[in-house]
Amino acid sequence: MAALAPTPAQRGRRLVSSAWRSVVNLYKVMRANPLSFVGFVLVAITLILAFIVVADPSLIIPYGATQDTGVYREPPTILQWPPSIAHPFGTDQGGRDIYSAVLLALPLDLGIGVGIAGISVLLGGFLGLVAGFWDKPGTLGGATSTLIMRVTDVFLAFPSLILALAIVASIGRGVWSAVLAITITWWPYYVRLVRGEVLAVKHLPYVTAARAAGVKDTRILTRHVLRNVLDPIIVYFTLDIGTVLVTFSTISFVGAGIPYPGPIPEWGSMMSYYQGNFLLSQYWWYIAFPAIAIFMTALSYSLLGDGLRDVLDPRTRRALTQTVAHEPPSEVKEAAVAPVETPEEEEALEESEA
Amino acid sequence: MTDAPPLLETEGVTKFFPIVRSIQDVLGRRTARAIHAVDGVSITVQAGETVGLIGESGSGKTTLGWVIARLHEATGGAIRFEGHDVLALDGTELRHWRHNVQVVFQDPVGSLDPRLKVWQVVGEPVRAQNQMDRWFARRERKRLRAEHRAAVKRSREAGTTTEVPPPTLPPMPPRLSNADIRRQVAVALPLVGLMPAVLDQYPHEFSGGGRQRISLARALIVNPKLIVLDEPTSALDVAVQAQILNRLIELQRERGLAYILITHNVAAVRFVADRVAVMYLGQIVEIGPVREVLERPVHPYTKALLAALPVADVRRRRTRYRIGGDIPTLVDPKPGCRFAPRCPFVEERCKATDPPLVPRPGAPGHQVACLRAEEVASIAPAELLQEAGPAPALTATDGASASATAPIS
Amino acid sequence: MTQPVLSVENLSVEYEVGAGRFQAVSDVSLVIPPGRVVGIVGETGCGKSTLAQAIPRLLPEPPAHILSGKIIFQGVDLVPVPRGKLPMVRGTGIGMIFQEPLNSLNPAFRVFDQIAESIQIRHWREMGVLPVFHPGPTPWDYSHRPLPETADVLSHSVIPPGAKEKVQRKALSRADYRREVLDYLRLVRINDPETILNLYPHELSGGMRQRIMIAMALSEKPALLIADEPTSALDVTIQAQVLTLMKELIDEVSASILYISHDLGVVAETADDLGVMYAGRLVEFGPVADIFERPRHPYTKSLLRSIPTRYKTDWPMPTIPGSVPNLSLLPRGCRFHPRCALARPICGQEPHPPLRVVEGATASGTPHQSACHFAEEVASQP
Repeated sequence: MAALAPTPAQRGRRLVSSAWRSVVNLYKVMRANPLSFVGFVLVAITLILAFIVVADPSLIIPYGATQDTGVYREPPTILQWPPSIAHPFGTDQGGRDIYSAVLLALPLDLGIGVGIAGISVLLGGFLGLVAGFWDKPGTLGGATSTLIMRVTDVFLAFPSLILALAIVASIGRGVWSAVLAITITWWPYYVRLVRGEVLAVKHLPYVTAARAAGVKDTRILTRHVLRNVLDPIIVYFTLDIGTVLVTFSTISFVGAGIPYPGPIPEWGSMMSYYQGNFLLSQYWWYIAFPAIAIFMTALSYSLLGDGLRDVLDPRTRRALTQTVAHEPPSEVKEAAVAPVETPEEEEALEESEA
Repeated sequence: MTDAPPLLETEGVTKFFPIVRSIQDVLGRRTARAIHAVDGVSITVQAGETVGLIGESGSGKTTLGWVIARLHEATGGAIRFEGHDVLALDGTELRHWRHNVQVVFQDPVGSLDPRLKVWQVVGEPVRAQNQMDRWFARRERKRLRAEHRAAVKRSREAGTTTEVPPPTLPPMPPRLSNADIRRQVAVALPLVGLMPAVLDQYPHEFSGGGRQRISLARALIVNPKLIVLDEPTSALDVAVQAQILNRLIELQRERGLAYILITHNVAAVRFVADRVAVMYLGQIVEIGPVREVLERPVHPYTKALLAALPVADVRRRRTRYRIGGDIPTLVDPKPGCRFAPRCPFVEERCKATDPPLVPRPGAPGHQVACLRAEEVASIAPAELLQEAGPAPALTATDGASASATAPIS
Repeated sequence: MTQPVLSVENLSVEYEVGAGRFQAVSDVSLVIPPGRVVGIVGETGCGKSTLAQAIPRLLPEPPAHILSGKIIFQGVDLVPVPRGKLPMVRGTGIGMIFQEPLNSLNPAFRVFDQIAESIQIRHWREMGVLPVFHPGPTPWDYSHRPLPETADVLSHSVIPPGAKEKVQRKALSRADYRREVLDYLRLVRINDPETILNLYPHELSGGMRQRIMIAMALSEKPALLIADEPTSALDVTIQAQVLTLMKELIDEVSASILYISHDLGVVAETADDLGVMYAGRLVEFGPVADIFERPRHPYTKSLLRSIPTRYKTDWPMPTIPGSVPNLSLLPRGCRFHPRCALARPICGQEPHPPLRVVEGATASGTPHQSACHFAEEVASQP
């Protein structure tokens, strides 16, 4: 007979066993879906590298940055070298080490990607929750919901690139104009996504059951709706990081982001600068490595997002642990687990085991 | 019957679901239409009794149950619980009242949040009620304190020297901790036949019967006076159904619970109910004591429904009465008996006037909504042999298509 | 005795799920003679749905796996048939009707297209265009029918004498298809078939959809119809209509039916022979009247008793204690013995008793078999 409140020892044991179970599940998922495992590893690598670059750049970046002209090799005598041992990604005509520039740009790009996606999730998610949950026509909630959705539609119509250029034209280049432009066009997607999910979950029987139990609306929202809506949002968010990154680089590429050469390099602006000014057939390493960096980062988040979706989305989750794409008959489903429930069953079980 | 006011009383309750108007409707200036899911239902439930609601899909029985539990808002009519008007409740008072009327839902899989453990699922109403109790207590205390302050102020202005006695504030109910809730759940689980050890398991680990027991425990834990059981047995096997039905009656006897049992399983109603109401297209067509209605049905629809039930008795294979037609959806019904298109006893007057629900002469508890009630009462369902042939209608919107055989007069 | 349409011998089906493997169907044997309706009844978890899907080899082979046994359909064992040839077998004589027609009818096609497709396959088979795995004798036998009244289909598809070779080569035109589809729709008692030809499944009511499923299954002229809970999803009055329809069709069409249900009342109405399954095994089999009047297995007995037929005053109802065992945690010995009122020590020690003919049973065609050590005792007790 279980105690009413688990003892600390039991709690510890349960924690350990559930942690072990999640590790085993993760392993099963990764084994079933090796690409997502690759994505997971790559994401981990990018995060670790970003952390190192922010904390202590000298660990991996041999050359420091100077204020106005970017990263230099000292002394600035050797110029325009293709990749070599000393300069793994080569140097450019100003003696800048491309490797250091690419790595220095990593935390910025990653941070911006996560940041923009994060703000969009929070803002768009909140609006989507409100719009989805209280949307009965004819009430205040319904009016608010309609208002939110129409405003969202308006913002959805903005093309991020054009908007970025317009903002740059008014407030000038820089990180913030690009961030502003992207965020303005990004949050509406989340409103739509979250609202759709909330509408689907809202009518599920257990939400009605919670209402029948007398639970407050806001508590239903946080306790029942939010938890069940979280999964697709997490997946989208992860996939989005890569997309935001590419969009930000594109905006920098067209000249609306951070200038390069400058104090902080950024992949898109690097590519823009080199592409505009140099003969790339001769100096391929100028543009190849920033491009590869963008590609790999975005790809790793995409793969991770795919893998997460397979794990978290209950509709596809079963596809991993069973190789059956077809609904097995009921007795098969019930036979998976079914612990002893009633005292009679317990007796029956004891009898059969005796 | 007793003279005490009934536990629950509904009067002319209606629930219409408006049909969203399409662009063509707006342009064509067609009036807004609505589905009349429940159309004028008056029913009473006494404390400690079970009223069964039987009917097929489209009869409105589930909608009526939800309206009574205020999960849907009634479009019209009145509902009184212990004499108080239920439809006037709102906000926290409504949510507090909910502990009186609990619902056990049809879908044992969907009605339990898959991410919560059993103790959290069953304990949720307890926690909600506790929060509301505290809210009410806090409000009461604030009010009493404000009164006291006003009284002190008045006495100071009047210049009297007598002390105004400090207010006696009602105690604040403590906030229930997780351990408290687990304790309460552990007491509730054996009531439905589950072992307290299952507190920390997840609903998906249980069989259908187990999940239904969890739903029942969740309904019982706040000590309701009335439980609306929405198809509690339809997802269960015969043997498990028997266990659950036995348990329901046991609980009713111990605690004086009233049930509204909504189902299409007539055998379950026969076993559990004291009175039974038969619904068709949003209206009650027959209501009375369970033995009366099930053994001597009067309304033609009741006869047809009972005759259509497959009986586990091999000797009764061939003599079966079967009505034709499909069950129509009711959008803006025309006047006249709604069963007329399919009724074998139909006459002209049936299509013109709505038959009222009137008690049978000599049996005041047994009410029937049929203009020819007394004439057709004596015809037993089994005697109406049916030849092969009447076709089912299409997805009829008004049931006016293919009818059964020629009316029997 | 004529060759039975279906003869299942010692069939065992194993399932492999994440956790491990277990047998959903263990050692089931039954025989379906031509023209009979055999019902299989049992609760959730007894293996009847697995059995229904295993016979036409509809179970996906990776997780499911026929461990042993034979499925002899019209004289040919289906178990060793390679997967690629299975569609030919199914098209040759086993029709299936499922529980929820909304799931089994293609939502993207109209009624006409769906029925016409089955008719087309049948025509190809008859013309010899489609390779047939087992070219058995035509299962339809009209000799006992005096005159077709409602079913025009029967008179239409009869090839006029002397034109056999020519007609067989000719492909059907759309008008021919239309005529046949309408005939089949009238066969299932749809009065105005022209109006529903162009509708999609979601535009029809449940009873209608089920009739269309029956029409589709019958248009293949199967020798065996497997109906897996065909009326469970329907309302009571519609269920009565469909059941009556099926009974009338049984008289007109000489296919055998394997009727799977959890509802004892329904099988009492339709079946000639009845099999009761519990935890993957067939525990009783015999003529349906005999089983209802004098069940010879404790499970059947308790099952019949736990159908509520009484009123509240007779509370409590007798129930079977406990619940159906988990197929991966089966008790040793007889699978029912932990819940059985008659259990003796031998029930737990000996392996599960085999299905054997019970002495003293009235011999009316199908012998009454029971899988209980004490079957005779069960019969004599009230």
